[in-house]
Amino acid sequence: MTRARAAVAAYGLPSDLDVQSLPVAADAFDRLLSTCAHEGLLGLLGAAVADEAIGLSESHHATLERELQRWFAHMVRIEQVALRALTALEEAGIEARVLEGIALAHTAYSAPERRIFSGADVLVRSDDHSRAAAVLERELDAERELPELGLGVDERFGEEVTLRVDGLELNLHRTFVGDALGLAVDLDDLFAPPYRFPLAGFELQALPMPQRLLHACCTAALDQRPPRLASLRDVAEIVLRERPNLVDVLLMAKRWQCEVVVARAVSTTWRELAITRVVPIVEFARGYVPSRRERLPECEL
Amino acid sequence: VIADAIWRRRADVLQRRSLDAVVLLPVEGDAPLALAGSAPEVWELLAEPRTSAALASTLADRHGVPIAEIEADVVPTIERLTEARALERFDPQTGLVG
Repeated sequence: MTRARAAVAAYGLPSDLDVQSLPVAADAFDRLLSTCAHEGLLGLLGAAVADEAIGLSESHHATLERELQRWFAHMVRIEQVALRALTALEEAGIEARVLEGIALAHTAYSAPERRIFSGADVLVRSDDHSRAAAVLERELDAERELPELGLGVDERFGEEVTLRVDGLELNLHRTFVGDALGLAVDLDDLFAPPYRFPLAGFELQALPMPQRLLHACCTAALDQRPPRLASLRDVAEIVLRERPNLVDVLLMAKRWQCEVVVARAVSTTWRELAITRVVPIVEFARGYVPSRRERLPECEL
Repeated sequence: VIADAIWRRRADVLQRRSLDAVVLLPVEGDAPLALAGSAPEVWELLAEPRTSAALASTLADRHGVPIAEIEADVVPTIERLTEARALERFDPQTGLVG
């Protein structure tokens, strides 16, 4: 099943993995569907079926269709919440960027259906974080999942606050990585001139490059062990489709002290998805030698 | 549905295309709507504004089916999409929508 889900995660990329070898027997298909849902890969599985790279029985097709409709209905509701949040923040004079699922689905992927996400992620400046949370609580009836530990704690030390709007998850970030690495991220870099993209008549702002790739690498290398395959796919999409300038990536990674994170995320992505096209950042990643500090247990990835 | 009216997608609609349906939610809408049957193809074709007659003609050509048969399916689909606030009627002469 490990190879099967990796084949779905690599679908459409130049890879040694092939979805045509996927299990289509009843039990195996149910397990594959469940795994793909857990790994955020249903959109890619749907793409492979739509392209007729995988042939399904009528009943499996119907099951997948039901799951896709359920997720897509959820995702457009998430996008609706994000647009309401961004409008409220703009009216309050608070600058914001969209991160993660919404931004990646509409910028890095060839079709937004391929990138599944469960919540909205919005980034504001540290100084605006508490006020932004208050605006969303007031204007969207958003509810905090957890109360703030003390006045100003979120604004100075927090990574994000999770809010609920009509039962949907809205993460309000001031940064995207915690712990020691988070202290090295220059938060002003996150508000450099943005990458703009359209969504339902709105113009949204995402992180520019190379910040968007560094964020994807942090998620892939640090969020979960083993990393979610969808996060690895994000790294592959950005590297292969958007082709960020290697020098820009490495200069910012050095400043943010996260070269080891980039190296780990890219080399893991290429290995797990068996990607055959080697580009310069992959050569950098494979040849990267961690420093003594990066080899300390607390820095081990 | 007026045969010579030009229909187009509303700009403020969030959307996803599944295998057999299109899932739509206007930004100001209450709940997502999944439309199957001919709706996904009609929605895809209306990326460019068209009359219902032009839509029916294109679909008839694609599927090798008589226009009259297709029209009987296209008209209610346009009505459903319009009711869902996903489509609007557009007058290219005046730029007015309705």
